[in-house]
Amino acid sequence: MVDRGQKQFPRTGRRQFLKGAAATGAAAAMPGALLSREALAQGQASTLVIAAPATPQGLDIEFDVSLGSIDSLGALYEYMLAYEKIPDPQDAEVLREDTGVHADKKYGLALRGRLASEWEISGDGRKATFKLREGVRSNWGNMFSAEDVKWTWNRKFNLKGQGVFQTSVLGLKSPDQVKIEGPMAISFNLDKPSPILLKQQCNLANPIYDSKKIKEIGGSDDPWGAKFLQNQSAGFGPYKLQQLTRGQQAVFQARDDYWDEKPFMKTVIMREVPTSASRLSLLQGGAVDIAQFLQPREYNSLKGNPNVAFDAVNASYIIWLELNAKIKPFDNVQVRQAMNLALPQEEIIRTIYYGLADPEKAPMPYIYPMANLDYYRYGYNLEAAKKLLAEAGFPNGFQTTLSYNAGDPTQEPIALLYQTSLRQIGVDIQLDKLPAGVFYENVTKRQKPIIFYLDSPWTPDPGYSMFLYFHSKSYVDYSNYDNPKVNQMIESGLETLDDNVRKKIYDEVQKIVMDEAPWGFIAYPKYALARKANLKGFTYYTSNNLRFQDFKRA
Amino acid sequence: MSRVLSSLRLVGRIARVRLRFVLGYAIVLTAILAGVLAPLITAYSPITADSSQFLEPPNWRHLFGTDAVGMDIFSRTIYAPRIDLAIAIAGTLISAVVGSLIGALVGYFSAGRGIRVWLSYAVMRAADVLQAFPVFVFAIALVASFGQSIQTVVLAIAFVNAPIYLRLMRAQVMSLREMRYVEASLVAGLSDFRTILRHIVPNAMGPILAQLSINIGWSILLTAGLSFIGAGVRAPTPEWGSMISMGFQNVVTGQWWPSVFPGLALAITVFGFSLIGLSIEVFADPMKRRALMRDLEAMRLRARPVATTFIAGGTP
Repeated sequence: MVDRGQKQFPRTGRRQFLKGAAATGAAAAMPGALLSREALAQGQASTLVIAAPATPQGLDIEFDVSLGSIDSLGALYEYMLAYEKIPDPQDAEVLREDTGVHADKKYGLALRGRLASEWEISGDGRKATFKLREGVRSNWGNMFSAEDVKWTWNRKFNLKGQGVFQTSVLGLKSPDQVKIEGPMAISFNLDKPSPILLKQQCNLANPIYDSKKIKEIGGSDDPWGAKFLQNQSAGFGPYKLQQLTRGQQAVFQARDDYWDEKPFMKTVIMREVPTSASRLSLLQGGAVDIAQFLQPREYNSLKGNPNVAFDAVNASYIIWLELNAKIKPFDNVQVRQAMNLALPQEEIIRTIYYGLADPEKAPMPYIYPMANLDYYRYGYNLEAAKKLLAEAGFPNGFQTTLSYNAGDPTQEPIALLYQTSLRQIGVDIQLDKLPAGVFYENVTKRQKPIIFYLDSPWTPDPGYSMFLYFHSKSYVDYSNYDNPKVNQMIESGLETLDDNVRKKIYDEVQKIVMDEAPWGFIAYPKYALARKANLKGFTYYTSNNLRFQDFKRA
Repeated sequence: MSRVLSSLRLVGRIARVRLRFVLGYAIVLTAILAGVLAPLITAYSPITADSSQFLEPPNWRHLFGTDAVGMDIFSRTIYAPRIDLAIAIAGTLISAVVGSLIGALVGYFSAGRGIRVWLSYAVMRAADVLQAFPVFVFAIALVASFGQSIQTVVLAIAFVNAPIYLRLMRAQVMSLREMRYVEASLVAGLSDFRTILRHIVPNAMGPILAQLSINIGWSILLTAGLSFIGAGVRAPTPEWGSMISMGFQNVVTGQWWPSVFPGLALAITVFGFSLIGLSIEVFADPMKRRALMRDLEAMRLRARPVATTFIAGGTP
């Protein structure tokens, strides 16, 4: 099937294909054509082939956060700011964002300018002014200006997709709070100070659009480019989309007119290979450079293969069980605590993740600043679990259902281990396997007593994370957790600039949440990447996506 | 006792001319016995995970090895016929009873005029639609509508198989209804319905019985198929399809045993039911039965001549 977006580009016809094939054949066969052969090899070297579980479903972050989409986004778009890169402490070959708190750095953060060349925050923390970079062109040739930033934030207010969360978490109530201060300057004006104002400028969900192109294409029918951006891009990133055939492949071409360092990989081909075993085979056979999202066991099978390597780094992923606080018996804190005491974390990590995960001991990613693992009070203790159940009025246990995603091969075995463990304290859980689409529908409906969830908050901030999962007004509070004190503290932390005060607030929030156990705390899976050994440059981002411009060939 | 002995002797003789028939019964009997006696055969629970021994290759403690969460594959493989056979037999029997009855009525009333003919026509077109629908898609739709349970899988099997029996019985009845004994029954005052039940259906049962056995084999495959795609029985119920599904991801990393053993058990059992179907077909078809008898007789004669010659010729 050919998408609409694909028609924007010249397609290779049969005649062109034959000509190309003949030229390649001749170059390879003729002894005097060494130069051509070198050129061919160079072409292969600068082409990155990725075996991905899915091609992008859509290219508009406002409505699509699927795996293929988020991998495309960082290549097609540019952001106002980015974190400095540092070597990963566990894997010297990997770089990662420096998301820590740095008292010695401006505003305590290790940031570097991208579309913003300079930035200032007012003394009261309510106004941030950005001076914008000159001479940046979009993939459609339009010059970047403050108009583009203003239009981008207006779009969030008007489309009401995931951008609503981005505006509300910053405390933006009206588009007028984003003001053009000059052709190349823009300011964000908040009612209350926000400690995440700069961090949000790095968030993958906040790319800057080429407003001129979208206005020109969309006209009055599609003023915010919702249709256009589904299949196309209009941004300032290092790549442009060459082809998108959903279910088959997406092809990206490096831009010659990109303002920053030109990417090593001139062409990136993202091929859809739905089964992880096939992706593994393609990598082992040398047909692809990267095999994404393999099973933990499959990563282990790569050990000892000199042509292939895999990196596994601590990530922002969390996998947990939503213990629905509005469904009996999980409205009882003691029952939820007992469920945690019967959760065999270590067994799961050893058996299912083959060590490619760490036990979850905080209600937010352990790699984020202010995460405190000291409040984890559970550990595997069936006797204590039984005692708590008896105190809660369930001395003989109870029956319930655990729903899991058929599309995630790790969830069924985790559920089986948990079921066996719970049987020993009299809790009988029926396993409810749900197809991926139905599964997410059920998660958002919040009507299942226990359901798995795997997620990662993209902004490395405790307030952002805690608001997402534990504030009763958040659209992601899937466990129906509602504690007014926690709500108030999360809000207060999101209006406090002093990191020491914030740490105290979020310590307390983490302690309360850990005690009240709205989740079954399982694990922090690592982000792993299986690649050809000669492929270098992998950088880990807290949004758990690739950026093609990072890769080079040794 | 002598009857049992002579029956066994007959089985032995049949085995010598048609080994596959006896093999079919032996396979199915073994599967049934394994399911029934499973708790006596194995000490391991088929639904208890044990992370201290996950993905162990076949060894003396775990004859078929263990799966990704440490469940004993041998135990699960021999417990599985309880579910697989129960679902397949129940689903097939329901489809056979319902399909055959409707088929008999449709066949009987498809000639002549009036509303009954139109109804027969409508039923046949409905069966066409049902059969034209991809079996798996139909079964998945049923499971999606009624939820994931053993009852739903039984219902799915009954639905997809019923048109087969309907057509088979209709064809049989259409040829039988012209027989003199049917006319005689009607003349004697029996109602159409009684005539169908007493005189037509019993005489049309041969092909149905043969089909029944083959269909149980298909139904086992369908059950396994549904479980493989996640629409069958719930984990960790021991069931061959779900075991294959849980284990196939391991094959690429070298752990073949979690899916190969249940796969073999599934294939052999389906093969057994096919052989039984074949044998029923032979016994139900007079021509094929005669051929079998001829072969038995020939074998008997081949066995005798040495002794006969000895006696007839005398000692020189």
